[in-house]
Amino acid sequence: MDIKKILIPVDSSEASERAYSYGVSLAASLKAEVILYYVTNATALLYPVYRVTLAETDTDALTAAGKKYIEGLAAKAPEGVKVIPETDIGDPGTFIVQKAEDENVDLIVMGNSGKGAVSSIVMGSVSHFVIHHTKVPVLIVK
Amino acid sequence: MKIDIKSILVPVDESEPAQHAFDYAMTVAEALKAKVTLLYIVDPAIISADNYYIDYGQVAADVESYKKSADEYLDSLIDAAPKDVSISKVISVGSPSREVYRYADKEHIDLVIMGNSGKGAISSLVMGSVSASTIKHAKCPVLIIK
Repeated sequence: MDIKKILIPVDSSEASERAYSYGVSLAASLKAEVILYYVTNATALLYPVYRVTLAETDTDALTAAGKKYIEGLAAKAPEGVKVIPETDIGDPGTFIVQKAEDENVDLIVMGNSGKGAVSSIVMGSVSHFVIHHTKVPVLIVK
Repeated sequence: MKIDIKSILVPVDESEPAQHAFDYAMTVAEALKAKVTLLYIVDPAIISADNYYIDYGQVAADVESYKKSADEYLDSLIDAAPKDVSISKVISVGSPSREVYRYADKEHIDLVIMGNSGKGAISSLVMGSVSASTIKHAKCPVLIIK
């Protein structure tokens, strides 16, 4: 068995930045490549307008911000680690599980609490969803 | 940030996910040159679960025989492991939901690698209660394998 490909899903929370630092460092030790993945939460976009979809320009702006954010993170990767930044719009949990399957990753590294979580003591809803639904090993970083 | 994973805790029972966790842990430990501790927890609550009443003398006797078979099981895992990985074994008695994170914290473990569902779980797609409790309480990262 070999760990060649690691998926690191992030939002812009502190927990996922810690997961990213941990994940790329682990990738360096294992000589694995990293897919850095940011999903613009489409369901979060719906709430402020009572479930009416926002104009496309708004989702574009959010996706662009997400892209800029992960490209910034990718630039901070340790030397020798290949980091591929990717973004999508949708439900983060579902998209992360799908991405892991499509890319045939060997490991998912993620933070314990995302932006929506009440506290780091309570498991983030996205991590919880991913552990429930994926067959890929999941490493939860606090 | 440079992570340094020197000690890996692998809580196991005889379940298939635990076996997968063990195999995965061997790969990680070999690559990172980390030491592995196998932890088997004998849960007296499960031993006495089939009885209508609890005979504590009988439970104590059963715990001893479970510990003995756990020890044989751990030895069989160690025998099958790559020879360059340093592995030690620990058997303790108590509630797995508590004992795993307590041990990890007490021994300053860097990473826990565990199977998602133990023998008691309904399905491998539902998070096991021991995994959930360990993720919630342990101070170190936890890697969950199905």
